[in-house]
This record gives sequence, structure tokens and C-alpha cells, in this order.
Amino acid sequence: MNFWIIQGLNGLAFGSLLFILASGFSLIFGLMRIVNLSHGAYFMLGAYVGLSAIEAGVNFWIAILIGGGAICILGTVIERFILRRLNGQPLAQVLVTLGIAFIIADTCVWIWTGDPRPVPMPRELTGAFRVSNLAFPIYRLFVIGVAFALAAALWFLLERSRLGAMIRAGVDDLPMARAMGIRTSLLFSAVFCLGSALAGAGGVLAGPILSVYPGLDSDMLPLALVVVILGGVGSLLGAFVGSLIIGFIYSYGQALFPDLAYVILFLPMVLVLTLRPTGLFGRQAI
Amino acid sequence: MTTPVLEVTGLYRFFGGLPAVRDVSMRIPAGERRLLLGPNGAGKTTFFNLIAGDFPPSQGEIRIFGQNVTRKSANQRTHLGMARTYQIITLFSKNTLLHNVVISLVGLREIRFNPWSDLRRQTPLWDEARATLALVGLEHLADRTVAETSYGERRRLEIAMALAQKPKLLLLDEPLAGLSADERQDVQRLLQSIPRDVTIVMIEHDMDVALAFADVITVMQHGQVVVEGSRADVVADPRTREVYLGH
Amino acid sequence: MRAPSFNLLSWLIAIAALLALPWLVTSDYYVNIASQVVIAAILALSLNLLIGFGGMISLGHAAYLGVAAYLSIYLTAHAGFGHLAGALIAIGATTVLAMLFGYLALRASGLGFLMITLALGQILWGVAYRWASLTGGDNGLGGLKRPHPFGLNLMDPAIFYYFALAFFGIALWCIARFVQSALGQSLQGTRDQPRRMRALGYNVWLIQWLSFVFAGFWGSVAGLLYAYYHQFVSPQTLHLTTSAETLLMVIAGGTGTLLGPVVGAALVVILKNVVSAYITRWLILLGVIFVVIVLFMPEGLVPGITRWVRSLRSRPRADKAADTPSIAKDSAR
Repeated sequence: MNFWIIQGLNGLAFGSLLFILASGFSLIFGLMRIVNLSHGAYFMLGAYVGLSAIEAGVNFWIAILIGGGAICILGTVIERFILRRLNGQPLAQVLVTLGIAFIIADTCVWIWTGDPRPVPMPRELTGAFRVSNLAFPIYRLFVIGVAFALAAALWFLLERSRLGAMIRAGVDDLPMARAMGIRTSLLFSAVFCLGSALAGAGGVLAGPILSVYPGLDSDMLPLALVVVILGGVGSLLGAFVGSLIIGFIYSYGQALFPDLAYVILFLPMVLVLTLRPTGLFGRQAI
Repeated sequence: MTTPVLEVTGLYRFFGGLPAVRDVSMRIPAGERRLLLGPNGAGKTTFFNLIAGDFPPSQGEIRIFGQNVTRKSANQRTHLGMARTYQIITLFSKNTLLHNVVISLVGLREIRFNPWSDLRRQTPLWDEARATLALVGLEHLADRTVAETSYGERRRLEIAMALAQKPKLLLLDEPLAGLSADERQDVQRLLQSIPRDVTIVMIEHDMDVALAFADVITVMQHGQVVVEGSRADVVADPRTREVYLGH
Repeated sequence: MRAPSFNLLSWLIAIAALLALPWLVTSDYYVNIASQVVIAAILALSLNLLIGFGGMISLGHAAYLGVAAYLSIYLTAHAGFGHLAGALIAIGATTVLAMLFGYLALRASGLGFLMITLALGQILWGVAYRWASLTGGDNGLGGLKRPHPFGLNLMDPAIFYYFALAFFGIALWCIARFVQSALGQSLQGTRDQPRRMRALGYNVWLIQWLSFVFAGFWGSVAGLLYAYYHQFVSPQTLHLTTSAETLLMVIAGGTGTLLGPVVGAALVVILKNVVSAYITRWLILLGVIFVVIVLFMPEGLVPGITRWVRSLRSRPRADKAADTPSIAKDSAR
């Protein structure tokens, strides 16, 4: 029993990290029709930047801001000066983001070497929270809390704010949104900036759990893709549910069949693509 | 009574809650020339797409040659003996006219799954394609690419692609759209030369040509059938006037 | 859909040059690079079936290379199968995998297809990386000895080159026939006008799936040769970077032409070998090449890339009701 609870918590924590990454990826894809293959690299670079900040003596919380902010700036520059030039050419945009992902990944090896680097946990969140004979690491509980708060904030942003109404209009029908006078170029920048910042900050937040290592990007990117395929394009709820499903499957899989944890990821994809190609909460096929 | 070539019952199609086609029923017997009239947005092309199988209806049933095809794919319906043209020209623009017609011919033949023998060496197919092009008066352009032809020639190629398959049910979506007066006459003559055993359903805005051509006329508006009947009946019906002259 | 505009003479010269190559370049090093080019060319030819002739942009083609390589090494060097049996099972099983992956990826089109192929490919990479008891994990899998078919000593670089070249010749011939066949021409029709093809009686899905499986089969043949050449395989073979390198071969040489990918394969393999001799940052260069090609040379050096980027861009207009991978799908009606 304890095993299931502990692994469930681990799954929830991993799913939470995944959600922080995938929500931005899904929003960008849903609104801008850009498959941002740099997203995993943003996550990794964010983690490295945060790590360097911490090693330079900066407080963990500020490091999250620095990691998120740095990637936000990088993402905005890429969006403004590269992706925008390729407006309306989705394949060219994909290939550019792929190229940028390689550049970032290799640059990270160059700067931070090939060894895995643990990111130190903030002192106030070390230790465990005990219920009878179970011990929950406080940091994981914290990460879960962050993801749920983020989900609520994003929901509020999308469903209750003016910006959100514009984003939803854009996701549903871009030409119509444009015709109604929504400044889509500004909207695109805002969403890409937000998605990048989430990826960067998520990377720092993931550091104490996953560590940072070359290949973190390759580990995370396909998971984000799977989440979007499962949850449906541009659906926040889909990204949330998809992240948790993958989090649980991955966590239980790794504990029960460590060799096969990755094989098991095929199953939800096979099921969803066969039975419901629009994804669980999507309205259109990806 | 013989089975109608096309029989549609209670057809609906919604796009995001909006009905594009509402409760349309229709029986078209063999050999009939049926004309669909109606203002833009009346649901005529959506109705065509439903019959052709581009997407399934939200409700209702479609029978072709007595067979229920409501859940059948577009390509399966084509194999029953149906062909269509498009309002927006849909051709293989980098290929020659001859090649376009050959692709149309291959669509109904088993050879389409052959991954080995060279299509260029299938002489009978190319001869048949050339003959089809001669039928629509395009033989002299057979080896040009579609991109090098005029709009009117492309319209005729659209029809040739459909005729090549020797359909028993032919759906023509505005075959005269955008043509000059001369070209219209050519196409009109071409349409009149189609054998009587081919059933034709046509969407057309050119009243003179269309009325002369049709046996039965169906007027649609807001996705519904408003009037249906012979030429004289429909022209005389006040509801037709209402549809065309406003509310 | 143009036939390769090669006359008999240029074919003969090309064949003679390929056959004479081991005598022209005396060093084993260059003969080995030629073998790598030939193997990469088979893979690029097969990917070009999807990209150039089918309009299906796959970012997971390394799957077939890697899985066939892993299987053949595992079966022959670790599970006690003979060379021929191991090779046949590896190719057969990888082709079956292509059937499954094709089924999954073709549930979507355009960008969705790309995402699914990428995800499936990377999951395989994760499997190879993590299922260490079977795959050796990060250390990879080795121990394969090159076979001695018909008494040929494949350890000799020149003989191995001819061995690979023979496979390349067969692959090129089969793929050329496929492209000119009714099925291959239909595939090109589904790339340009999927909706019209359906109305003409073609089962578009089936045509794409069959082509996908065919491409997967030749990918697995390349994988088998890859295994024989390197006698070793690691997760890197299955990684996205391998798929991306193959994609680069296709777009650098020109999509939609038969021989473009062969030229592209030569360019990329030679570049990679040359660059790796001087610097260790091949991946950065690969990334820069992608960015530069897309941004600055979409028209000139690479006629292909613009064509399929543009064809994807113009598709929503020409083909409103079906298959538009764009978000404008619902609004188009």
C-alpha cells in the first residue's frame, strides 16, 4: 500500500513538472500552430541557468526567476526575429526550432560539461512530511502545489481575462480573431514569451528532483509531445490531465518495470490515437 | 418502380452548431438531369460534399444505386459509379493534362496498388486518356501541364477527369463558373453530349444554360429545399422569386 | 513527377565511377566513408519516399535504422541466431514496427504526423537507453561479426563497400520503379490533391500507409548494413539527431527527385566526417545548418524545401474541407 501512495506522489510530482512544460508547448501549438521543438531545450537551459545562479550565491527563488526570465527573453528574441519571418510556413518553423534545439543542447554541453549536475534544494523545503509511517518529501509536495496553482492561474487567465478571451478566440479561429481586430502579433509574442518562461522556470524547479544533464531535453520533449497528443491541441485541461496520466504511468512504470518504463508510454498513445485521434479534450485532430 | 440512382432522406449537417444542410430529402431516378439552384451559402456544395462522401452527415441517409452509402468513404462511393467535379478547380497542376486523366482512370483499376510496373508503359490507359481528352476538345493540349493552360481549359479538364471514369451518376459543381460566353457554349455542348443513361446532378448559377439543361429543378435556401419541380413549375412558383429577389 | 533526367551515358559513367572508387581512393579511410555514404543514401532514399513523394514529414525515421540494427546485433551476437536468420528477422520485425507506427502516425496529417513520428522515435530511443539488460543501455550493443556471404570477406573495406553498394543499387532500382509505378504516382497525387484522389476512387490512407511501410522496409535494410558496418549500435542511432541528419540529407539534396537524397547523403556524411576531425561540436553545426537553410536558402540551393513548405502553406486554400493540418480547419467552411 505504502508503495502505491509513495509512487503515486512521485507520479504526481513528475506530472506536475511535465504540466509546467507541456502547458506552454500546447498553448504555443494551439494558438500559433508552431511545434516548438526547442521547448525541451528551453527547459534544460533554464535549469542550467538557474543552477549557475545558485552556484553564484543567488537564492533558489530568485534563481527560478532568473531561469524563467532568461528563457523568456531568449524565446521572445527567437519568436520576433526568426519565427515571425517564417509566418505561415509551419514546416519551416518546425525545422528552425529543431535546429535551435540542437544549438542550445550542444552549447549546454560546451558550457556545463557532460556530467549530471544536481540542483540544490532550497533549505526551507528539505526534509519530509510524515503521516503515520509515510514520509513525503516536502519539495515534491511543493512542486505539486506549484503546478496546481499554475493550472488555476492559467485557467483564470484563459477563461476570465481579456487576454485569455483573445487567446481562446485565436485558438478557435485565427483569421476571425484577426478580423475582429485582435492584434495577433502581440498575442503571439505574449504567448510565446509565457510558454518560454514556464519552460525555463520549470527547468529550475525540476532541478532538485531530476538534476540537470545533457539529454534532459531529449527526455522531456517527447513527453511534452505525448501529453499534447493525449490531451488534445490547445486544451489546457488536456495538458493537465495528459501530464498527470504520463506522470503516473512513468512513475509506476519505472518502479514496477524499470526496464520497460519507456515502452509503457506507447500504450496511452496507441489507445488515444486509435480511439480518439483528437486527443481526450481536443476538438480537432492534431 | 425502379430504384432511384440517388436517394437522400432527412439529411442534416451541422458545422459548429450551425446547420449547413437541414432536412434535405431527394429522389433522383436514372437518367434525370437535376439542377440545384440557390443563393451562395444555401448549402448546395455542402450537400454535394455529403453525397460525395467528403464528410459524414450529422443525420440522415444517403443511397446510391439503391445501396446505403451513408457510412461509406468517398473512394468507396466512387467505385459504385459516381464521379464529381469541383467548383474550385482541383487538378494536379504540375502534371500534363494526359497524366491527370490517366490518374483518374487508374483510380478505378486494380493497377493502382501496383508498386512495380511502370505507369508510363500502360499504353491502353494513355490511349484511353487521349480519347477522353478528344471528347472534351483538349487533345491538342494533352502534353501540356495544367499550369500552362487557360482557365476555361481547366474547367473542361475537370469534366474530363469525371467523364473518364464513365460514371452512372455525375455531380457537377458549377461547371460553367468563370467561363466566357464562347467557352460556355463549348461546355454546354459537351454536357449535352453526355449519354442519357448518365444521371447528372448539377449546381449552376447561369440560369439560361442551367434551365435549358435540367429536367427537374431543386431550389435551396438556408440549407433547406424550398421548391422542387419541373422547369415551368419552379419558374412560376412565387417562392423561387422570393429566394432570388430577397425577403 | 518528372523522371530522373539521366541518359544512359551518364548512368554508365556514374556506375563506373562507383565501381572504380576503391581503386581511385586508395586509402581504407575513404573507402569506409564511401560505405557510410552508401548506407546513409539508402536511408535517405527511403525517407524521401515519405517527404518528397508523399508530403509526409517524418522526424522519426531513425527508428527503422536503429531497430533493425539493434535486432540484427542482438539476434546474431547475443541470441545465437545465424546471420541470415538474424538479418531476415530483423528486417521483418522492423517492417512490422513500421506498420504499427504508420498506422499511428497516419491518424494525423501535417504537423500532427510530424509530432507523432518524433514522439514514437524518441520513445524508442528512451527504450534503448533504459532497457539496459537487453540493449546495453548507454554502452550500446556490440559483438557482431560481419558475415561471410558467398565466401566474401566483408572485413575488407573494399569488399564491404561493394556489398553495401549492391544493396544500394537494388534499393535505388526498387524505389525508382516504385516512384514510376501506379502506386508511386498515386502517392504523389495524394501529396498534391488528397481530396481529389479520394473522389477519384483512391484510398488515400492505404496508399500513404503502404508507402510508409515500404519506406520503413528500406530503412531497416539500411539499419542492417549499418549494423554490419559499425558492428555496434548505441541509443544515439535511434536519437532525434539521426532522424534530423537524414532529413537534412533529403532537403539538402532536393526533395521529390530520385537522386537528390543520394547527393545529400554524400554531403552530410562527408561534412560530418570532416568536421568531426577538427571540432567536437557537430550538433551545433547541424543546428546552424538547419536554421541557415530555412532562413536564407529556401529558394536557391535547395529547390525542394520551398516547394514542400509552400505546398503545405497553399493547401488550406486548395483543399478546404479535408486534411488541412492548419488551425483554419473549422473556419474554412
